[in-house]
Amino acid sequence: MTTLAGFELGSVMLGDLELLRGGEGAFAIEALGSDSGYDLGNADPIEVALQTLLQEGAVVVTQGHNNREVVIPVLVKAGDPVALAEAEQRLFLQLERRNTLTMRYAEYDLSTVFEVVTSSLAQVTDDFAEVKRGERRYNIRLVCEPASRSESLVEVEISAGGEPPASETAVVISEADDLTGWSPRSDETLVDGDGYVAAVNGPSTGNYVGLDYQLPTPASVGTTPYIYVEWATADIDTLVGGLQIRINGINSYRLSPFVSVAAGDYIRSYFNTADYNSVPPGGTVSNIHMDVRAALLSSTPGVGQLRINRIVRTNMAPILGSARQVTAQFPVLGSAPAQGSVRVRHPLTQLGKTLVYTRAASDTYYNPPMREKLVSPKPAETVSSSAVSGKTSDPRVLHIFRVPALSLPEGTYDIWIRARDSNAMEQTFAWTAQHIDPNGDAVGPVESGSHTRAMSGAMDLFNIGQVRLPTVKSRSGAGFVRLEFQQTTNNGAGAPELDELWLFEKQRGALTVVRAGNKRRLWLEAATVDRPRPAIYILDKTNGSVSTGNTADAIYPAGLVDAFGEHRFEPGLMSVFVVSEATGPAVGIDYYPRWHTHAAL
Amino acid sequence: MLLSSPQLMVGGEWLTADEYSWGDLSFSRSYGPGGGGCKELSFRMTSSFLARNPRIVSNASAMLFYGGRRIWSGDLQDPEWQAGEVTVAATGLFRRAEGYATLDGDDETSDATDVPTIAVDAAISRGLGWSLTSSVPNTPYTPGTTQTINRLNTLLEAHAVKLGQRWTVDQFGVLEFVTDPTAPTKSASYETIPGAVNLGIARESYASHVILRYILSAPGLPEDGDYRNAAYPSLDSPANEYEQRYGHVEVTIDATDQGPTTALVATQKAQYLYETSYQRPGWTNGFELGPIDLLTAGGVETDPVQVAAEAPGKLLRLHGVPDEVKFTPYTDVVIAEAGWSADSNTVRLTPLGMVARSATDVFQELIEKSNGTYRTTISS
Repeated sequence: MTTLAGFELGSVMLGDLELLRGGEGAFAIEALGSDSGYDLGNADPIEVALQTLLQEGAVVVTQGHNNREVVIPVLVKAGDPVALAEAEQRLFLQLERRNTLTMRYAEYDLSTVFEVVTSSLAQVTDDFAEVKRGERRYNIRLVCEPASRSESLVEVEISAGGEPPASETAVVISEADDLTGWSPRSDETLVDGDGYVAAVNGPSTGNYVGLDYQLPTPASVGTTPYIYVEWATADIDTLVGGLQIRINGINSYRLSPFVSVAAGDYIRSYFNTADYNSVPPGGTVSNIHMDVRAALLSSTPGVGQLRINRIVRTNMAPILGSARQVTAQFPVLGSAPAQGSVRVRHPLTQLGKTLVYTRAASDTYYNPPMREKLVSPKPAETVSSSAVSGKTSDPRVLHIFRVPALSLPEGTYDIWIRARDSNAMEQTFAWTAQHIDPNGDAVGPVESGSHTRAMSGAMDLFNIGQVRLPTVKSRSGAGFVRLEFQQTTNNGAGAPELDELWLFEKQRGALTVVRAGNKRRLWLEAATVDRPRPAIYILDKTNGSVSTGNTADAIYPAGLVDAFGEHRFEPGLMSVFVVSEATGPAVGIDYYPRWHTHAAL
Repeated sequence: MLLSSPQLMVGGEWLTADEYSWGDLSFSRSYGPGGGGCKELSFRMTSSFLARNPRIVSNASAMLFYGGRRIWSGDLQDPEWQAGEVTVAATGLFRRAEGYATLDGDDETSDATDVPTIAVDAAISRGLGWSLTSSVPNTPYTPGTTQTINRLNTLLEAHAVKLGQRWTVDQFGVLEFVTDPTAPTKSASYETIPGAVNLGIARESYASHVILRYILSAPGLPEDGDYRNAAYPSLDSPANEYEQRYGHVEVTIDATDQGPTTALVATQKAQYLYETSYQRPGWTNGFELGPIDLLTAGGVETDPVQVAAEAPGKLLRLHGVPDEVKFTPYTDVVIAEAGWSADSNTVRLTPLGMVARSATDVFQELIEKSNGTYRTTISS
């Protein structure tokens, strides 16, 4: 490391060539400052202007970014023309190809990397300096990807943790059928409703409505660490987020995507007492505070209610029927979207047909599987150890799914099912979707579609349509989407089985489906400097960590990729949803955190 | 906010997994006339100076997927190789009909047919790659005659005209005969917010009455047939709302080369031509719309990719564009074509009945008309 006037210098490396104060043997290379034209450039936003007569000015939408251009002027010095030519050769070898530019800040022991798409070299004629003093001036122009990145890869893996407990132990904490133990928040009032306790807003409530429940005797949650609350709102415009709870005065961790519909259209939200120390190990729950936040709560007292129907503790995490479908959530670091790799592996079991779906999760309760959202009249369900949802049902019977609208972010959804037909005949699957308002009335347009395909005798995953949801604009975000599904043909009169139905939001989400067969690992790899496009690999060797280990047999599953998504991670929370035939596979992501210009880690 | 891109599969393999990069994707879907469904797709791809990408060859299959859903299928046209890149266009599945004759079997001993189900079934056995639905007519175009061989697309178009329908082939190769929507059904329509678009009217395609010259089905040869006229609406009927607004204009159409027909069918043809082409003036322009301007019937902002994949054949209600005839503050048009391109992520919509305005468009229309005429001859 060079020290200049007592200051420790970092480095600027183009590939493996030092530019800041480099050179070797007979020549030296020195990068010059911004007086000479040094410039890190900026990501160039692609803005599309749409003219509209509705407002002054145009609506401008940023669609993405174009490459940034980095300019580094360098001065090359040497004692003789041969050494100068050698320096030029060394410089030129790093150019006009994909490469990396690594700026190292010695003070902070961290580096920013620009991924160079291509580059060029321009010589600058400098008042006969090249003749008189044996100096050469060049401007290196680097066309880089718009966002810079950290130097080191971030790797995270979670293990799905195998099968859930064989049976559920659920203990009701409160049925909320009288006001005993309930107390209002600040100036709100309590109402003992029909099967619920409601907090009604007061004159100076602000944007929250909430209430407290004091348990008659503190409950131990050692064997029942999960708490779910069945709740609803009335007369609240534009909910922000969902229900928040505090256990014993400490914020509790909400199991984000898990929300389902309980009887009476209450929304069931899950919380984990074991996380974030809201209840220490062996501890008890004595007080639960619940509240919701609204963007615009009426200032009229008595308008705006939070209704609690039931509070229950259970040993069953809100799983998705079986551990063959897994939702994992990962925080994504950085300030700009990153290209990420997703890795799915199981030490023992083959993955079979595997589906990987990723989407930003910061804004939503959204989770793709729908079986748990079936409502009456329910088709008869058969417990199945091979079904990813844990159950199968006859698709010829009408299936009605009722999905809370707040768990479906506005977008375009792919409808996928996992199903089979014992006689492998051609069958038609039809669906409709309509909005149900908080009063329970079906409102707005009915979207519908159908899809016919030759079925397989074995369980298969396939798409049956796409739909824009919600079907009607709802200002409050309250209400439900009712999705109806049915196999409308009965060709061959066999024994068809429906395992699961999924809704995959695809405007922001990415979906990849690979028939991984007997392989036990699946990699969805992000684009790299050397290979500027994503790739998919299946491999069987199971030793090694998420990304390392024996990878000699990793191959592209040619002809076996049914859907190919480009998985990019937005800063914030990222949700990775995996369906495979292996129980409890480990799911990992790795990515380089991306930054506007300077990396922070 | 990151948006996902549709993914392209060429020759059965994903282009994104290929050695070379691709981009500049655009695709369109149409609703007719002249057949509808997946229409065109194009993209550019980098290429080596020294070798051609073996995947990019004429007639390779091309499929576009959005999420996990196939939204477009067709065949590559002849790639344009240039230094370091290749530009590729593809045409949709319905265009395959142009390469098939209307035979009733799978070899040259088979006879000509004018029954769409028979002709399509036989073409499927010769490799057409479509499938039939119950909406496809299973009756002859002209009962009791032996036919010349037509191209499959002209036979389908002739039947569509006769039935007052349109024929489309979707991304799964499913052939369907469909009827134009007349009122917005809640699910099958879109709306624009007022101020987003305007719509010009062109009366050059307008007529208040269609007079069709035809040969009445009669024993004997066509030259002995009886030449007759059919009109729709009837020439002496009271003026309808369009005639009251735009005046009395008669258009004559010679359908004598389409063989003898009954008075009823001739009137049906005149009615179809009137209702689909002449009844109201044409439109002069299409629209380029973003997600904010174009809403679903439920008032939800749209996804341009999904609109391009699904909108043709659906009704579009243009708020803020008054209808001069119906005196409504909005105008309803049927979407004839929708196109999406990656550079702007907007959707281009063309209304049904848009009038050709440039010389090139007019010329193109003439070519399409001359190619698409259904012909029949009679032998005793």
